Amino acid sequence: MAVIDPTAGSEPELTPPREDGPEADQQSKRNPVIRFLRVLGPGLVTGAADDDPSGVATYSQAGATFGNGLLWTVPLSLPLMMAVQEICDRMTLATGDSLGRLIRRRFRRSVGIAVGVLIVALIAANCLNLAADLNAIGQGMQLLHAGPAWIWSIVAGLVILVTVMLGSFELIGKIFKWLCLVLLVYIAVLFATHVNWGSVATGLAGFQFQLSPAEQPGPPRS
Amino acid sequence: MNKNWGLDKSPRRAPLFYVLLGIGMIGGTILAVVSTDPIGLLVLSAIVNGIAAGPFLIIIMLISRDRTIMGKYRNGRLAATLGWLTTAIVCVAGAYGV
Repeated sequence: MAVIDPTAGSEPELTPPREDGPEADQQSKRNPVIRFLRVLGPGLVTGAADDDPSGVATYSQAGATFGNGLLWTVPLSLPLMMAVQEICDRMTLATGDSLGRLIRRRFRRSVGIAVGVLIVALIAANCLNLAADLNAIGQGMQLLHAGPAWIWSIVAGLVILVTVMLGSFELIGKIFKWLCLVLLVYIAVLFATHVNWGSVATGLAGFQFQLSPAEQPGPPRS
Repeated sequence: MNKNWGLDKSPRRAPLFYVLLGIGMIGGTILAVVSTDPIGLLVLSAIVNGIAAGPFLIIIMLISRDRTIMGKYRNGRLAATLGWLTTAIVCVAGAYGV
């Protein structure tokens, strides 16, 4: 889900280039793949964070209700998402300021107050999000027969709290960066499930457009 | 909102940020233990985020076209077109959601 983060774009570099000596540095400068991997950091984490459980739950609900019928929104919204991301990046590139400071520079106070109300709503929504995420962690651990869900929810909450409070920005960044590998699970899921590619294609092209939930094969039995 | 904000600052330099973060984490953990419908919570949070996105997009578009703030980095025609199109769609969808 595209969540507007008022602090987005203001993060400094997560991983400063390592000092591997001038030779290694020369070599890596020539290799575009290594250069690309090195600058991966805040951008990757920000992108991955958009595929949060809230997003996945919403996609699942949409999929369960409409099948592949809403897939046409993906090719349509992708360029729009890219445009907004590019605009935000350019804003930070040009000013070095966070969105909050830019709002204060550009707008009158009343707009700032309205934005403050919106931010309070976003914080509340993100707390709900957090609760649901931790709840899902607990239930996942329970499914793995690791013990009752509520214990794992509390453990996960405390571990994250302590890490975020005491860990340095670089440490947190590194942890999040490696956690992004979890996204590869999406690819594995493609092979584990039986995807009807014909239906995906017509869904992407918009031929399954419908305004109300049509009859779908019943809910999957667990 | 101000300079003392964000994970790249230490808790001593950004106390309000970390207090809010802590309250949110602890509140979220408690809610996680007592809640029984995580999917409902997730969809609700996505709806709030979606509705709030419209006003923020308007603000972003107004800032990014401002010559005094953006200088030579201000929006070109393509970015402006796609950006305002996105803003319109998100605002209509958000208004429908309200």
